[in-house]
Amino acid sequence: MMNNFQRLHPLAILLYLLTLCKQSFWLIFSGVLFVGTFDFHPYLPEVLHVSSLVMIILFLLITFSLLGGLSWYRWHRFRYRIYEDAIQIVQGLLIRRDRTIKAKNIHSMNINQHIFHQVFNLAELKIETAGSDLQVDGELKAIDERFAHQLKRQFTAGLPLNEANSNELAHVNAESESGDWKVSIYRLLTAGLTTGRIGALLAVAFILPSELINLLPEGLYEKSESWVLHQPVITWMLGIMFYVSIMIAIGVISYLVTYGRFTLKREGDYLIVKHGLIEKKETQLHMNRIQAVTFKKNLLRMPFGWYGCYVDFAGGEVDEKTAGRQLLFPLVKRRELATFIQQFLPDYYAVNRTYRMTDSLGYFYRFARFTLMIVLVSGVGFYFYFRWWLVFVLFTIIALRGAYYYLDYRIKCYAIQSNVLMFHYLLKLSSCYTLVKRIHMLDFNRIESPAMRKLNLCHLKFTVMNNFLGTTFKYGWFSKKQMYEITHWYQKRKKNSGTI
Amino acid sequence: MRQPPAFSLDKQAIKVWQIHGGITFGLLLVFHLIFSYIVVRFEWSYVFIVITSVLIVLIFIIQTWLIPKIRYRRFRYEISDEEIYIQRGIIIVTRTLVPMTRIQHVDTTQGPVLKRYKLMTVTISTAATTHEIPALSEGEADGLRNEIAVLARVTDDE
Repeated sequence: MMNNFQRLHPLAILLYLLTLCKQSFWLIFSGVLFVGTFDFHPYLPEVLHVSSLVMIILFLLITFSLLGGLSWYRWHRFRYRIYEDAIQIVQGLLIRRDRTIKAKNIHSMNINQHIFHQVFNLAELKIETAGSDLQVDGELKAIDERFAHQLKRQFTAGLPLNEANSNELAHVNAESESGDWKVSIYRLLTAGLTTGRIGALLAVAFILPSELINLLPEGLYEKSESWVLHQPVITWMLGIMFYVSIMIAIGVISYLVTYGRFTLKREGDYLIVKHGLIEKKETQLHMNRIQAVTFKKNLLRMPFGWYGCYVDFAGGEVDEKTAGRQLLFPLVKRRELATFIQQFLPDYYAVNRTYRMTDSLGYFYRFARFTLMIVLVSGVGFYFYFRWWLVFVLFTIIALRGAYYYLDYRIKCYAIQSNVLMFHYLLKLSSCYTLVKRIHMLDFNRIESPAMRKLNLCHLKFTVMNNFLGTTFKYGWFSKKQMYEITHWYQKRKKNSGTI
Repeated sequence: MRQPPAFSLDKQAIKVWQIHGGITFGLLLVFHLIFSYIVVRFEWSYVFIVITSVLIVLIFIIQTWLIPKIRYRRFRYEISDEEIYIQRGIIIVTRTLVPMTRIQHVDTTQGPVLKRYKLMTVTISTAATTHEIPALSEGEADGLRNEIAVLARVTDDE
C-alpha cells in the first residue's frame, strides 16, 4: 500500500502535449494559414519586418511552448495515491478535482502501451466505473508497466498489492495460457482481407482520381490525363490492378497494426482482450457486464462461414468509431463457434437450439409494396419520357430487391433457450447472429402498422445498455403467434397468459 | 391475451394537446405572414400564398382536432406488480413492456399548460431508455410514481 501521493512518469508530459496538439490541430492549422497570408508589416516596427516563413516558425514556436508549458503544468498538478481498497486522483489546472475510486465500484481496468510507453517499459492505466463520464473515469497516463498490472490484480482480482507480485502473476498466466485464443498471422491476414474496411478503402480509391483535378496543378493533371489516354488497354488494366492492390495492402496493413498479436483469454469472470503492434491495448471485460453478443459475417465472409465476434458492453469509454461495440475476436470459423461460446461466453452456450423462421407472408407483402411503389413512380416518369431500356432497368431493380428479400427470409430465424434469445438476421448485407439474455433487455416493444395488423404481422424492438445511450435491436416481420411466444418468454409467463 | 392495456389517460389530455397544436399553429402563422409579406414585396406569384395557406389550415385541423383525439384513443397504460405496459402511436402502434426490475428512476413533470388542467407527466427511465405516460391527473400521477418506485424496489430479478 502506498500512503504518499505519487507523480506520473515525466513521459506523461509528452503524451499530454501530443493529445493537446491533436485536439487543437485545426486551430494551429488555421493559425499557420493566417500568419502565413496576413501582412503584418504596417503594424510592426521596421526592425521586426521578416518573411512569412519566419513568422510561421515564430508562431509555431510560441504555440508549442505554450502547449508544452500547459502539459508540464498538468503533469505537475496530477497526483495519485493508492489505498488498499481505493485509488485517489487529484488533478486540475485551475480547479482542483479530487476523485477517489473505490475498488468495489471498478468495473474494469484497461492497460494500453503507446510506442513511447514501450521504450521506457511504461503503460497507461484506464479505470472504468459505472460513472456517467463519457470519457474514462480514471486515467494514469504513464506508470511502470509492472506496477500497472499489479494495480489491476489488486483492484479487479481482489489481491493485496504486495502479494500481487510476479509469482502470483506467473501462476495466473500459466493457468490461463492453455485456454488463450491467439490469432495467427494467416488468420489475421484473412480477417484483414475480408473486413468491411477494404470496401470503404476501395470506395475512397474510386473517388480519389476524380478529386485529383482539385489537388494537382492544372497543367500537370492535363498532361497526366493525356498520357494515360494514350496508353494501351493492357497498361490501363495493369495500372488499375496495381492501384487496387496498393489500396487493399494499405487496408490490410492498418488492420494488422491495430489488431496484430490479438489474444483473447479468460481470467475468472473477466475476459481479457489484447491487441496492437505499435500501440498495445489490453481491455478487460467483466462477463456480467456483456449485454449482447453479435457474430457478424459480411458478404466476403459469407461463403466461408467466417464470423467476427462483437460485444455490447456496459460501462467504459465512448468510442464513436466502434459505435460502443467491442471486438472480442476478429475471425471465428463456423466449426469453432460452439467451442468459442462455451469457453468465453458460457452463459450463452446451448445445445440443440430449435430455430424458427419468420413468416413468409411479410416478405411477399414487402415485395408487393416495393413493386407497387416503384411501378407507380416509374409510371408517372414514363408518361413524360419512355425508353425500352428503362423498363429493363426497372425489372432488374425489382428482381434484385426480390432476391434481397428472399435472402433476408432465408437467413432470418430465431431461437429461445432458457434465458437467452438468439436471432439471425441480415443487416447492411452482413449476416448477423445476436445472442441476448432476457435480463439485459431493458424494454420490449411490439410495433405494427395498419397493414401489418391486417396481415397479423409485427416487429420486435428492444434496447440493451452499452457505454452511452444503449443499443437498439429491431427484428421485423414476426407472425403474431411468434410474437406471443417471445412475449411469454420475456414476461416469464406460461403460454396463453401473456399480454402483448 | 392480445388485449391492449386497461387504462386511458385523463380526458383533459385532449385539451392540452389541442393547446399545444394551437401554439404550433400560431408559430406557423407568424412564419406564414412573414412569407406572405416577402411574396407581396417582391411581386412573386400569389399561388405560393394560396398553397401555404391551404397547408397551414390542413396542419391546424390535423394538429388540433385529429391527432389529439386519435392519440387519446390509442394511448393506454397498465401497471402490474412485475411490469409497466404502455400502448402508444397514431398510425404505427407500439406496445411496450418495461419490467419493474429494469427501472432506474421515475419522475413526474408538469409544464404550464399541464398545470392549468391539473395534469402531470410520469417519466419512467431505465439504464438506456425513457418512457412517458403523459397527462395524468395530479393525484393519479403522484400515486403512480410512488407505486412504481415501491414496486421497482421490491421486485426480484432472475
